[in-house]
Amino acid sequence: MKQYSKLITALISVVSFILIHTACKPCHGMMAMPCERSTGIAGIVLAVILLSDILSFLVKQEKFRQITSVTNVLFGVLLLLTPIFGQCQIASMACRLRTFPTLNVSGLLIAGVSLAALISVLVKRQTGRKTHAHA
Amino acid sequence: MTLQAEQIEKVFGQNGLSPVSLSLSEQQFICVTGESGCGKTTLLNILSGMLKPDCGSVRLDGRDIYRDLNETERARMRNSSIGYMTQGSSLLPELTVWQNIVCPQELYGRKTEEPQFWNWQNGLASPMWWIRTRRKYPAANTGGSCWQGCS
Amino acid sequence: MLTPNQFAWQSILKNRFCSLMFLCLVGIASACLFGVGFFNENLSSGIGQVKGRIGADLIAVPSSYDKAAKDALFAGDACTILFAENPEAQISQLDGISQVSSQLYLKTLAFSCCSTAGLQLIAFDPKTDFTVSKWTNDSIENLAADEMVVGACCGMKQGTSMNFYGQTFKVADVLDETGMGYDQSIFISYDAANQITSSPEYAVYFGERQNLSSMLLINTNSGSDIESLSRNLASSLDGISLYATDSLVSELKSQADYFRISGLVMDGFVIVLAVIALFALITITFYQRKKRVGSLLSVGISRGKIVQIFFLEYLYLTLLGTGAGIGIVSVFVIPLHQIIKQTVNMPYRLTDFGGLALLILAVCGVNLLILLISCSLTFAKILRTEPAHLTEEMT
Repeated sequence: MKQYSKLITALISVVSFILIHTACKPCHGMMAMPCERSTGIAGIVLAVILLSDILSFLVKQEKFRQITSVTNVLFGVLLLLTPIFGQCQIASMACRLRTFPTLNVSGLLIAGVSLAALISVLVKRQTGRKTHAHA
Repeated sequence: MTLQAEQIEKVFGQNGLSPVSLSLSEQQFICVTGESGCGKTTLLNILSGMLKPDCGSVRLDGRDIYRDLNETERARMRNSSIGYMTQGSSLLPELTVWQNIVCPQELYGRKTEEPQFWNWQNGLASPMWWIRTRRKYPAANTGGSCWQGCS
Repeated sequence: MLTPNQFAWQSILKNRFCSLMFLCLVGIASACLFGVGFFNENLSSGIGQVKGRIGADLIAVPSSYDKAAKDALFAGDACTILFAENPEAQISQLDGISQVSSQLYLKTLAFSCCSTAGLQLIAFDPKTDFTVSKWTNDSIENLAADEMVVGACCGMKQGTSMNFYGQTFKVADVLDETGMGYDQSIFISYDAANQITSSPEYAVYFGERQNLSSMLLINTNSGSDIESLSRNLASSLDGISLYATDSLVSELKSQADYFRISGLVMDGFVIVLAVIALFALITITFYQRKKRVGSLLSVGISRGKIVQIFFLEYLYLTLLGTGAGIGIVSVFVIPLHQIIKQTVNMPYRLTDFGGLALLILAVCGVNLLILLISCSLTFAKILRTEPAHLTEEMT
């Protein structure tokens, strides 16, 4: 379950990263836009999520994988909060219409999948503890 | 407790059980032998309320278990008065060995405590076996341990 | 203590692959049912608001701006619409007309910060208006020339300032969501609009004319035949298209009905597929677990109790699958609500909490029905087969 969850979050990160720089990119203006800053931060977060997922496949330690699952949940929540780093005022602008909704969807999915993986590890541990408690 | 079977018969196509009568009294121990396909398992299934005969009757303490009891009452009878052991392992893989043993009671809300269980055992199972296997699932136990659980 | 609930959960966790497949099937079915239902509910919610929001019996627009006017009303596509000559005075004198209110539709300039196209400015006369004022809590009769009322999806709060055509406007109020183009529109007074259209810098964009108007909202006397009045008006006035709100709404409703019927047909296919797939999965799983059922019967567990355990197992999987399906659809449709609204090009508004709750209950109900149909053969086998046949101890 943990390995599949890493694969799914890695895929979501890649797709989101591509989308926010292509079809769902914020509008580019003659002056520095607050939404461009937020999109940049979101891009970094997505890259970090992808990197941690790749490392999870390479590093075989269970502890490391659990830590990356926790960080993925936190980064997923951070993606939801990206607009606080700056967004345009008008709701019809590309960042509010496309970029931030894309980040919301990917943040929810990444956080949800990582949380489900963590819960399944906890349940497995509880079941194992009950089975071996009196052995 | 007495068990009486009168002219019980069961037909499966060309095979089956010819009319058989049997009478068992309390504390009596019998062994049924015969060649393969002669109807030993069919007889035991009929006597334990697991298979309705085509004709004849089976009486436990004077009550016909197929005519006087409905399905639920027969289940209760099997729960309280009959011990049935299958040829293959009948442990449920989704329950631990302990849960397999107590499920007939606990599923009906009657909690079973371990000292009570030990009173039933009367030395049939060794304490070491019990400590090793009771919280494990059947797949994690040896075949012999599973058979001890079945018994 | 081992309870039927615990037994069911342990079965679910033990047979992970089958449980996961069951979850996926129910999840996909729920996602389709909920997604289609949610879309249709939002369309109905939007269309249901149209007549009340427009507030008039008839709408008059310049013939050459027919499509632009509809796009502005329903999709929020900003545009500037102008009558060649303002027919307001002419129309208000005709028989059968009780009220006329003029609105001016102006598209703002593109934003100075980026390439995003302009917003829709709608000028209205606070003293004669009988539509916009109905949507706000506060009275807007005294809307100043430097104030504006914004639609729900403009992303502006009360007190925010914005610059249009070189003039600064402050948000006096925010309208409730309508599901129409009004959500992305900004309402200013006619006085403010006249200052823009007659200013030296921008008068050239508007033909350097006075008394501009884009749309007339007309209320008829009660009891009037709106259709015949509309025909009379159209024949007596050139270059004007008249729309009865009722026929606009019924046109929208028939489009929405098309979506609804298509959605129902798709739902039907999904339900049939789900029943077949779950029936196969549950029945095959039962045949694999036949001996276990026989073992339970042999130790005296009643058939009813065994059916209860199986039912609980499948019920929990159904509920989890339903939750997962609804959750996944919600993750997509709620953040992407604005994009869907723009794409649909029809009044589209998030349904209220009651509608959403009913939809979720309906999806759960359909899934339970699917479950009962799928389990029917399995339960029948448990209830009717002799225990000896289930244990397969026949030799």
